[in-house]
Amino acid sequence: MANTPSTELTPPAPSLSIRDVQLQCEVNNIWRCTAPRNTSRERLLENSFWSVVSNKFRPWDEIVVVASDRSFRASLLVLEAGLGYCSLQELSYQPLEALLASPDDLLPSNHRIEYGGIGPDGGWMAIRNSDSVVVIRNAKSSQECLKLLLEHNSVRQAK
Amino acid sequence: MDNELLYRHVQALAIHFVSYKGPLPALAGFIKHSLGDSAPPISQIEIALRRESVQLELATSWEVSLFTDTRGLFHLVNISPERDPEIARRRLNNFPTSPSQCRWCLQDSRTLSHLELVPELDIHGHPVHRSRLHKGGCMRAWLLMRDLVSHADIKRAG
Repeated sequence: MANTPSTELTPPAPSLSIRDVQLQCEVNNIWRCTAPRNTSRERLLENSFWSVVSNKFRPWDEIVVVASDRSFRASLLVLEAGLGYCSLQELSYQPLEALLASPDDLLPSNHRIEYGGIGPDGGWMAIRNSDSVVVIRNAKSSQECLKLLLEHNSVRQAK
Repeated sequence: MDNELLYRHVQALAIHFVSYKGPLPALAGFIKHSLGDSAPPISQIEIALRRESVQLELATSWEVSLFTDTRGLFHLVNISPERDPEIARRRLNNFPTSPSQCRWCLQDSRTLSHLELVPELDIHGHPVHRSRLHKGGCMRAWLLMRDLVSHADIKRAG
């Protein structure tokens, strides 16, 4: 008896009726929030972070959070929400790079970028501060000059 | 005419003037003077400067914005991004004298500013009060500068 396969079949889920189908935009919202600077990833899921605004949300809403300093973009799903409480599930979290190199992070220390006029020794130049040696010369733009400087052997060896 | 040589001279002119507004023959005249004896005639430089591919190349690779305004004048603006956060911060805190001026190049569009300038939007998507810029290179350079300052603030705080 143990070897005979079971003939009982679990019935499939019933077919959907017309009331089960709705437009996403009619039922739920996609919100966008701007998180203040230095908001941590854990803080995004805390109840107290949302307590003032949580009565706007409904279950299954989606919240897109962008950091005001452009450091991340996160997508959250609302599981339950009401006055003063909100339960969230993180769907995605993407840390973002800064768009522009600020001098203290991408530009190697002891270097500066200057424009030196037209001519073979001109253009955008990268200069080493300590001995005024021109490391890169005649670059098309300051961004290209910075890129070439970072690829330069003297900078790569120093790292 | 060698295009790269032309680009180099236009770039030098843009950096020299920072922002220039004037008729095209005058601009071509400056470039002809800068090119020296080997310069082609002004009409040929004018044709090159009117070409869209040249203007695009200048904006993308040479950090120079060259465009026409509603009055038919040509603008030549240096859009190389600001590198010093302190200078950038000072520029962000200062507003031009007239609200019809572009905040990056400070050229005054006077009565046509509603056609030429677009408001700067903050992170919430709201327009920044009294801050309007040309929508091409000026806006791009300005937003880069704004990011530079906010990024420098994070570095300082962290």
